[in-house]
This record gives sequence, C-alpha cells and structure tokens, in this order.
Amino acid sequence: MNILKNKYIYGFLTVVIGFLIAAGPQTVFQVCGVHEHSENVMKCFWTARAELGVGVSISILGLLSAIFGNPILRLGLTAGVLLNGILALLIPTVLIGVCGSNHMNCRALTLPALSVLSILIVAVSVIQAVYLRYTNKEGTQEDGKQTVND
Amino acid sequence: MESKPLTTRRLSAYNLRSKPFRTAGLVFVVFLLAFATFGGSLLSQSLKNGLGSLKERLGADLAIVPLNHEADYEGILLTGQPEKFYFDQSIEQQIEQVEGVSKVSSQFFISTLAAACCSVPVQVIGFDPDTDFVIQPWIGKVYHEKIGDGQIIAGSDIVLNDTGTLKFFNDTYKVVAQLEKTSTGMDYSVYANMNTIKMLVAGARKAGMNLSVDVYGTDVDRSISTVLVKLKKGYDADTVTTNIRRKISGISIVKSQNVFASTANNMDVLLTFINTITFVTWMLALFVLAVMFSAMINERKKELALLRSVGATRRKICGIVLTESFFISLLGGILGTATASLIIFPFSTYTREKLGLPYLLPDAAATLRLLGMSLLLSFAAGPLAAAYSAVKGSKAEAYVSIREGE
Amino acid sequence: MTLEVKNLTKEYIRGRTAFRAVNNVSFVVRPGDFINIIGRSGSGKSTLVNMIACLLSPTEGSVEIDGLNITSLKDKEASVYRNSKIGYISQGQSTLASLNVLDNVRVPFHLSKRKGTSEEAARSLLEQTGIAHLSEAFPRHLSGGELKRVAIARALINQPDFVIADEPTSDLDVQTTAEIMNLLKNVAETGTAVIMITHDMEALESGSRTFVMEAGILTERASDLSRSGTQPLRCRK
Repeated sequence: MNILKNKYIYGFLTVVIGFLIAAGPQTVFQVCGVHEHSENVMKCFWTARAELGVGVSISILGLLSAIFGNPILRLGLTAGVLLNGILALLIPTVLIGVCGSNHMNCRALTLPALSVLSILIVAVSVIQAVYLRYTNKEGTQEDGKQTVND
Repeated sequence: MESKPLTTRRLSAYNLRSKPFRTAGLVFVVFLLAFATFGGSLLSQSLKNGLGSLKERLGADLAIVPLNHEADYEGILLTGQPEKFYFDQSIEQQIEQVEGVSKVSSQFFISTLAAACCSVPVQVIGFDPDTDFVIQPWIGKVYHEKIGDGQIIAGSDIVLNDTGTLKFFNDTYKVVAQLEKTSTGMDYSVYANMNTIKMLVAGARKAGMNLSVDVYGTDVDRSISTVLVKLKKGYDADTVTTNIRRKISGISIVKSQNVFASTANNMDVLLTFINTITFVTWMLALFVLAVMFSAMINERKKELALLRSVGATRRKICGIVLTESFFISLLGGILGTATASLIIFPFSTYTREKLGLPYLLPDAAATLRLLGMSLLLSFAAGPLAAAYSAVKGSKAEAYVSIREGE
Repeated sequence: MTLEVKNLTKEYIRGRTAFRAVNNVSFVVRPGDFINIIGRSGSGKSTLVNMIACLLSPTEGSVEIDGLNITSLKDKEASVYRNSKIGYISQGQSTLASLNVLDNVRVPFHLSKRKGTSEEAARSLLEQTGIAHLSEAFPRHLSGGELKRVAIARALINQPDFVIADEPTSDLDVQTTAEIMNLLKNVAETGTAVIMITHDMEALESGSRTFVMEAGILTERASDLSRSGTQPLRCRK
C-alpha cells in the first residue's frame, strides 16, 4: 500500500470515529439524560460527557497523524489513539457505566454503538501500528520509495 | 532479498493489488452479498425463534381481564410494557364454574416506579403458586424450589444489583432465579407470590407512592388483574368465551390464539420483506460480479494470451482468474459477515424494541451454522460469477488475443 | 536440436470460402540459425510462427522437433513444450502490468515445475539486456525499447532452443532497433535459433537466412539479397 494513502486513510478513519464517539452519545445514539422522576443525574449522562473528551482527543490525534510524515512520530500518535480507544470502551462498560435497564436507550443503543466504535478504532490502530512497524523495518527511506511508485 | 516463486496465488494477488480501485469495488459487491445473506438470515431466524418462544409462552387458552384492557394485557405479554388493571377476585370463582373451563389461575399486576436511580418501571406479576399453570413451568427450568415470601424471580432482561437483589420502594428483595430469555414481555417482568406482592404494596404505601399501586377498591386481598383459563378437552375457545360472557359482564376476554395469530401475521409481512431483499441483493450481486469479471477478462485478454504464449496451460489461466475471484470473495465475505455481526448482535435489544415483535437471536450453534452457510455462499459467489469468464479467457486463442490487443 | 516444418497449412473460413493463411510451408531450423521472415501484414507470418509455438493447430502438416510432432500435443504438453523449448517475444508491448520488471522476466520459469530459483538467472539476463537498473520498476514507467528488452530477457529465462520474435522492432527508433537486433544476434551466437518476423529492412542486416512470405507461401531468398538492407519490400524483385 502506498505510504501516502495509508496516512490519509488512517487519519480520516480516526477523525471520523473519534467524532462519532464524541458526538454520538449527544445526538444519533443519545443517552437518557437527566432522570425525569428524580433529581439524580444518571450514569449515562457522565458517560456521554467523558466520551466527548475521549472522542475529541482521538480525532485530534488522527488529524495529527494525517499531517505528520515521520513514521516514528506517527507510530506514537497511533499508540495514543489505541489507548484512547481502550478508554472509550472502558468508560461505558466499567469505569462509569450506563443505566440499569435494558429498556433504556443508553443500554440498548448508546452502549453497543460506543462498543462497536471503540473496538473498531482499537482494531484499526493495531493494524496501523503493525503496518508502521513493518514498513519501517523494511526500509527507512520511505519518501524515496514513494516517488518511484508515483 | 530472495524473491518468492510466482505461484498462481501470488500472480493473482499481485494483479489484485495493482488495481486497488477495481479490487475494492469487487470486494464491496461481495461484502453486500455476505452482509445481506448473514444479516437477513439472522434477522429472519431471530423472528422465527421469537414467534416460537411466544407460542410456548402462551400457556393459557384465555385470559380474562377488566373491560377494555385487552390491549394492555397484550402489551404485557408481548413487550412487557408495565400496566395495571384490577377487578374483584370473586370473578375467579365464577369463571371456574363455567362449562368448558378446566383450570383457572389469577394473576396480580403492579408496576413499580423507578425507585432506584437508572431503572425504569418494572412489571411485577403476582401469581398463586397453588393454581398457576402458566409461569411455573418456565420457572421450573431454572428454579426447582417453591418460591417463598419475599423472594422474586426476574425476567432475563432485568438488570440486577451486584448483590443479586432488586430494590422496590426502599425494600430489598432477593432474586432467587432469573428466567431464560424468551423475547416476550416475560423478559421485562418480575414474578412473585401474592404474599410478596402484599409486602410490595405495603412498602409502596409506606414510601408514600400510593399512586403506583392503585388497587381495586382499597384491598389488595380482594383484587386481581387477570384470570387465566385452560380449556377442557373438546371445548374450543369461542364456545367457552360465549359461556363466560353469558355469566359474567364487565370483562374482556383475550384469546391466546388470536394474539399469536396477529403477531405471526405481522411477522409474515416482515419476513417476506427481509427474504425478498436478501434474495434481490444476492441476485444483483451475482449479476454485477459476473459482468465485472467479464469486463476484467476482456481488458486482460492480452495479458492472458501473453501468459499462454510463454507456457501457461489453460488450467493455469483459469486458476489465476478463479483464484483472484476467490480472494475477492474471501475478503468480501469476511468483511460482510463481520459487519453484519457488528450491527445485529450489539444492537439486538434495540432492534427488538423497534420491531415490536418477538425477536430472539438463535443460539451459538445455530448462529455458527448461519455464519458458515453465509460464508460458504459468499466464498462461492466470486468463483461462480467468474467461472464463465475464466473458461472463456483461457480458451480465447492466444494468437487472436495478442492480435486484438494491438 | 532441429526444428522441421513440414507442409504446414492453416485454413480459415472467410464467409463461405476457405482461405489459406499459411499454404504448404516447409523449412528446417538448426541450432544457431537466425531466420528472417519478411512479408506484408496479413501474409500469414504470424499464423506461421504461432503454429510453430503450438499456439495454433495447423489444418495440415506438422512441426517436428528431433522427430517429435509437436502439433499433435495436448494443451498441457504443448504448454510445457512452449515453456521450455521456445522463447516467445510477441508483437507490441507484452508485459504483465501488475509485476515489476524482474518478476515479468521470472514468470515463465514458474509456469512449469522446476527446481531452484529464478532470481539469479533473471538478474543476469537483465544485466545482459542492459536494464538491470530497472529491475524493480513497473512496465508503465518503461520506454518501448526497454519493454522489448524485458520481453527478450523473459524469452531467454528458460534457456530455450528456439526464440520466436514477432516483429520485435516495430515502433522502435533506428538506434533502438539496432540495439535490439544486436541482442538477438548475440542470442543466435550462443546456439539458440532465432526466428524473427519483420518488415523492417534495417533489421535484415543480421539475418543469416531470409524467407519471404506472400499470400501464405514461403520462399527462401538467396543470402546475398538479404544484404540489400535499405531496399523497400515492394522492390525486392
């Protein structure tokens, strides 16, 4: 695969998934929000907040990895995305959680959506990390290789 | 770096790699095919399972409910939507006397308010362990002892506290067992004997939430929500319904058969839709693949002729083309089924709520069978679609092809 | 190893009439021979060499190598024969676009079961044909002359007894044509017979024997005539 293309594909995927993790719980797969019958703010509300932060962080890291060419730097950024992805998975499942009933949106919709997205970003990052390692071992002159192929 | 032998597989892979856009297009077609096959078959199997489960669950032939509460009762049965309605318990004895009635058992419904944070109202169904013939066969599958006072059985979708208890109106109740998934309202309900129900009502009153247990009259002891009826052999539901109506007024009667039939009807429409979509996607994908492979062979006529002229057998040419199509199928099939899994499994609760129909995912073995079948079909799709082109490509006289390439 | 073409005939049906693209052609090729076949387009040259390469089956006649009639071989045997005995340089640009130069040269080696690896031989051939520096490049980045060199290197990878070159110098400039002809001449000098189709008079320089193909009939020319390099084809009488 072309180095240049890889850079943009990974960057694009990361930015999009990060955005979905950040904005999804507030919009398309909305959490339940503040409980109608009590003063308590539900768990899923905090989960959505936390995911907002993690998602934005993933997007920014993805954007940076599309900007920078240095493979070592990009490997580092990928590791950052990977760890954030794991965090995005742990927040609704372990660290904060979602509401108690299967009937509720946050459990039926938000939780699976966030799980799928974070598993995707983790998988993509692992593949990217392996790819960066592999191409790096083969030859460090990636830029030179690029011009031959184009 | 030692070069690897240029095997059929490697030649095919190189060729696919050199045309990433075309390869991606072909993979996408197989992806759609695999997605439709696996997703469609899982969906329709789940609906069929759900219907089967509903049929088993409808243990009573008739359910007598207060006037105009048929829909509410069906709601409890199908979706677990919490409802409460009551009439006098003397109705149970009256129905028992009716000709054609074999067994009767009453149930008492209350819905709890979301007392604890992050829970929703739950339907609590009180039953009489001595007469019940509907719920206990199910409970018997997971719990073999008699349900004591203060103990409850929870449906499969009730999320328990860490300690295996549920809290209603400030009181904690021990959950002695959790039922298997049924895809009916049973999954969202909680079962207890009448003494426990009385404890619950008392608890509610103490907590000042009287509104949630608005009991008929003022007496829990004299109220029931429904009377379930099992017919005697030789009597049909219509006759007995008429018999009951003659004797008792101010009631509605729900026939289980009708509940089942209307659900099955709704499901039929959906199943036809799903099957049609799956089939059309399949045919379309196969057609598009065949056209694309044919175009690809035409475009590569010259290359294939070249391979012939340097010593490739016809078999080898066929092999290269078929291997390419297989690689495409492999990738598309795996991606397609994986994507379908990523949508269907995590979002099954959501799907079921949106469908409003009994929806029960098949067990692991059945799922694996469906997966295997879908993968097999997808893996076969590429070579199947490419077979004609491959043979054609290998038969085109090398000489003619080389000439045409000029 | 001797190749003997005996009464070779190929008939095509055009409309309702039979038409002989190759008509009763006979000749013998011995090791080290350099044979030119000249003639106009459509005179049957390509049909002839394609029959020799077992890519087409003749209507009549035979092609024999050391007494073995190769025109009656089944597809698998014919392919093995083509793969091991013949180096085929086809008309126009004939490379596999998805493979780099080195792999293009290696392809014939891997089409039959063989022991060992092909890389060393391929690199040495690329060296001989003067394109070793392009071994990792892809065909789309190569010029016409370079592509021809790839085709020659590929034709030689299995050390064939015969090299068939179908108009190897068409659409090449004078300088490149001379270089390619030189390469083919070198091949013939190593003992491999070369059968070359051309209508390029420049190319005739290096021919040891020259045949003229006209309306399916092949006639050998006296060797001194073949030296009249720049003479246009239509004036050969």
